[in-house]
Amino acid sequence: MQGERIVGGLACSAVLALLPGVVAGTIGADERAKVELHLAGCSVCERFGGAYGAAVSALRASANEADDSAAKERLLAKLANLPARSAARE
Amino acid sequence: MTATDQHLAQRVAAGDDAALRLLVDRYHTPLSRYATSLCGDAAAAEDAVQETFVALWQHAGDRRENGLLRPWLFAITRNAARRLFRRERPESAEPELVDGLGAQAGWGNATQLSSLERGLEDREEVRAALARLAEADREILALVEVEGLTLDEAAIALSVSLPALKSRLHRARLRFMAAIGGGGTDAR
Repeated sequence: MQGERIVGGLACSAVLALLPGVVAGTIGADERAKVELHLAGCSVCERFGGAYGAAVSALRASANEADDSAAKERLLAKLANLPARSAARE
Repeated sequence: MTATDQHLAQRVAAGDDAALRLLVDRYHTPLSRYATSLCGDAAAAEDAVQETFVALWQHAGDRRENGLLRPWLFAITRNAARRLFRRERPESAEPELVDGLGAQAGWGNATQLSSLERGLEDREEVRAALARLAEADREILALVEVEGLTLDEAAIALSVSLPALKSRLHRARLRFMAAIGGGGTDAR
């Protein structure tokens, strides 16, 4: 990858390839330690992680803007008209 | 003390509509957000959520006793949304190498990271970037990142194995970042 760094004995691209294994807990302790060393010392990867966190925060903030109160009232009205459990089962 | 989902589901199975109301209070908003992210159509999303709660009322007693309610609800909403909002879904693209996705996303590239960070300043652009992703990417990010399902719950909701879910999530995250930074991807 263009501009990638080698920190802790690993290049950024190698860290990227190993990350799923880190998350899944399927890589060995040595490799895991190298990934953690890289992430702790690589400003580019740290920036990427920060950017991802900001993107998720922005998504959550957008998601919380929607007002679903009218749809909820319509749902409750619909549910109120459903047959009672005993009737529905008969 | 807050009633657990499992306890409320048992009460619903016994015909307790007050318990159903509590579950509506708890899950209407998350399920509506999820359905909207799948459909992009408010009317279809509302219908999908209504179907979900009707299904809960009708089938709460049929659920496996220890089955988790939250992923079950999301799975029902997903199936309903897909049925109600049919459209041509392209065949899945060849799985991209993580390396290539990482490069598009700006991993290890300070210049592209700057572009990505500029994109993050505009919340609308972040939302638009998510909307440009393929449905498979949108739904997994909506479940895990927005609604906060655990990986186990998301795997149940999407009917995939846990390893498959982790692999899909990793790629979806990279494609999302690439979309924000302008590095790809219109995977629809």
